[in-house]
Amino acid sequence: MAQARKLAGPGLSEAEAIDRAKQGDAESFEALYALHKRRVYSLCLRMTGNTAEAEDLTQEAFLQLYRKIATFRGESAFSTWLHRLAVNVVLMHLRKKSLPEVSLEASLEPQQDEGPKKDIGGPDKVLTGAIDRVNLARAIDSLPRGYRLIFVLHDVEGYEHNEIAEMMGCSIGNSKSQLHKARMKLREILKESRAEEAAGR
Amino acid sequence: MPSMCNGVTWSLVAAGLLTVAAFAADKHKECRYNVAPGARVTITNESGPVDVKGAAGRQVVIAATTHSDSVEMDCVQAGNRIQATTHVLQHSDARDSRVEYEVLAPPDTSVTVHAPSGPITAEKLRADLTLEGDAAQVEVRNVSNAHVHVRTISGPVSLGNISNGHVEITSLSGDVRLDAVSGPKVSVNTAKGSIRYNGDFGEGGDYMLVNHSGNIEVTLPATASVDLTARSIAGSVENDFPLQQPSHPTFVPSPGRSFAGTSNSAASSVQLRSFSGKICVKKQ
Amino acid sequence: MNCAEFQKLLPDIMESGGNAEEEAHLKSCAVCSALVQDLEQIAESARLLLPMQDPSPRVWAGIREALEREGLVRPPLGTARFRPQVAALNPRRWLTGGHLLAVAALLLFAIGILWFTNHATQESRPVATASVPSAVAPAAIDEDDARLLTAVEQKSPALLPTYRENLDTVNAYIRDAQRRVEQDPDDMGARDHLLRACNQKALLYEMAMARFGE
Repeated sequence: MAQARKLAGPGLSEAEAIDRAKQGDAESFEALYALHKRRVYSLCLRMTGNTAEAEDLTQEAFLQLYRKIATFRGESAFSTWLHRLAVNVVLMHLRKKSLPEVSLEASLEPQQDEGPKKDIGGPDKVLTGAIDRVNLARAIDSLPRGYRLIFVLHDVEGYEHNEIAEMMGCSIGNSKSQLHKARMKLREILKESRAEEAAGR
Repeated sequence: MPSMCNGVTWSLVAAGLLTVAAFAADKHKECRYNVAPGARVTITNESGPVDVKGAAGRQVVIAATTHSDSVEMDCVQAGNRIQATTHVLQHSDARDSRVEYEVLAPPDTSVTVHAPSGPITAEKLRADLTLEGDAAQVEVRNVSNAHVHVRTISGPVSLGNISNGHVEITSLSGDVRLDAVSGPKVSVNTAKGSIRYNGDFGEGGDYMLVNHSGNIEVTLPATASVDLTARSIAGSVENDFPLQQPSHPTFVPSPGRSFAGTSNSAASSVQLRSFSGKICVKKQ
Repeated sequence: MNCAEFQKLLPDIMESGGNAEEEAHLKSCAVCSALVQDLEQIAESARLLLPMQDPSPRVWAGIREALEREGLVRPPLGTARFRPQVAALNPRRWLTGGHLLAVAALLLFAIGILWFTNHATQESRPVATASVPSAVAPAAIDEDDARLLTAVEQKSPALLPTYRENLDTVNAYIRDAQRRVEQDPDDMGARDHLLRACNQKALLYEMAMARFGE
C-alpha cells in the first residue's frame, strides 16, 4: 500500500498526516483515525467476537499508536505497523484475561466437544458453490476463541505461522495445527448452516 | 512462642510467594536477525541497562527482560538496519518500566543506544558507536577502528582500550575517564565533570580535553610523543612531566595559569583547557 | 497411505504441499480430495473478507479525551475542538518548534558576541584581573529554562533535580565565559569556552526534546 495516499480532507496525504501527528496536530490524529478505524475495529471484532471489547481495544490500539507515533520511521508501511500494534493489544488483553499460571496458548485451546469431528473414511459432501461471506463471518464469530484467533491472524489478516508463533508464544507446529482445526471446524459449521437453510426451504 | 514461630513461618511463606510472583512477572523476549557486514542497530530504552557486545557470527541477537505488562519491547528489521524500542504502554513507576537489554552483534555492526537511565556498556566492537544517556553511566571497552560518540547530562563516562577512531564525549556534569584511548581525534567536553586521562596520546592524533570548572588530570608515560599545551583561565595548572620548551608562536605560557612543551617527536597535539578548574599533568 | 495417515499430515501439506505419496493419495481419494478442496476454499474466502464496519462514535470520543488528558495534542489555530489550555504548558508543543528557536537563538547570541569582538592572533595574554568563576552560585534561569523545567516536572518529576542542577551548571559556564569575553575580546580561549558552553546548553535542550518531546 503506498504510503502517500490521499485522506478525506483537502490535500493531506497519509505521510503528511503522520508527520503532523508527530508534532501533536489534532486534525492529523483524527484523519489517521478516520482512515484506519474500520480495519482496526474489524480486526479487534473478529479476534474477540465481542462488540464492546472490540471498541475498547480499538481505542487502546489508537492511543498506543499516538503515544508511539514519534518512533515511526517509515521502515514499514504505516498500516502494517498499526495493524501489528492492534494485534498485540488484543493478544495482551487476552493474556490478562487468562489465568496467570496458564499460557495464552493453553487457555485458548478449545474444549473437547468444541473441536472439529474427525472426518475420515465416510462419504462426504463438498461445500458446493462459493462460500457466502456473511455466513463465513458468522461462522468465524462462532468459532471457539483459540481457533478464531489463529484463523483470523493467518487466513484473514495474512500473518505467517512464524509471526503468529512469536505473537502467541506458541510453536510454529502448534500454529499450523490450530489453524487446521479451525478450518475443519468452520467447514462443519458452514455445512450445518447450509443443511439448515436447505431444510428451511 | 508457638505464635511467634507461626508468625515467622507465615512471613517466610509470604516472602517466598512474593519472590515467585516477582519472577513470574518477568518476561524474556529475544529477537534474532541475520545481517550482512555493516549492519546498524538502534536500541531505545527509557529505563534500564543496555549491554552491547561484539560476537562471532552474522547474527544480531537482542534479548530483553521486562518486569511488568506496562512496557513491551518491539524489534523490527529493515534490510540491514535493526531497531529495538521499549514502549511504555501505561504510566508506571521506574521499577515497572525497567527493561534490561543484552545485545550481541557482529563486531562490524554500528550501534546507537538511547538509554536515559542506563547504564550503557559496549565492548569488542569495530564499528561506529553512538551512546546517549541523561544520567546513564556509560562504559566502552575494546573498540578499534570506529568512531565513538558519547553524550550524557550527568552520567559518568569511562572508556578503555579504544584505538584508531574518532572519539567525542560530551557530558555536562558527568566525570569522564579515559584509559588507553588513542586515535586521530579525541575530544572531551564537560562543564562540571572532571576529566582523567591515562595513556600515551598515541597515533599522532589531535586531543582536546576541555571543561568549565572540573579538574583535568593527565598521566602519561615518558615515551609519549606529544605537543602539549594547558591553560586554565581562572583556575590553576601543574606540570610534573618533562617537556621541552620550544617557542609556540600562538601560545604564551603564564605561570600558574598555562604551560606548553613537547616530548619526543611531538607527534600528537594535546590541548588541555579548563575555565576555572585545575589542570594536572603527571608522569606514569 | 490411508485417509487417517493423510489427514494427520494435512496441516503441513496445506502449508507446503505434499510429497509424491501424499499427492497420489489425494488424486485417488474422493473424500480427502473433497476435504482439501473445502479447506482451501475456506482459506481463500477468508482472504477476501473485507473490514466489516466502523466502531461507534464513542471510540473516537474516548481517544480524544485521553489525548487531551495526556497532553499529546495541540489544538490547531482557530479551532476549539481540543481544549486550548492543554497547549499552554504542553511540553510536547514547545519542546519542538519553540525550543529549537530558543536554542538556535542562544547559539546565534554566542556567535554574535564572538563575531563583533576584535580578533587576536595570540590565543592568550596575561590579564590583570581574572574573572571570578560563578560555578558555586546558581545562575538565573530565563523563561525558556523555566518552561523546560516545568515540562520535566510534568513528564518525569524524578528527573527534575538533575535537569535543574545541570541547567544551573551550564548557565554558570555561559555566564563566566561571556563575562570573560566581554573583559577581553581578544581571548580566543574564552571565546572557545563560550561556544562550547552554548553547545552544552543546546545538548541539554536537545536531550530534553528527545525525551519529553515524544
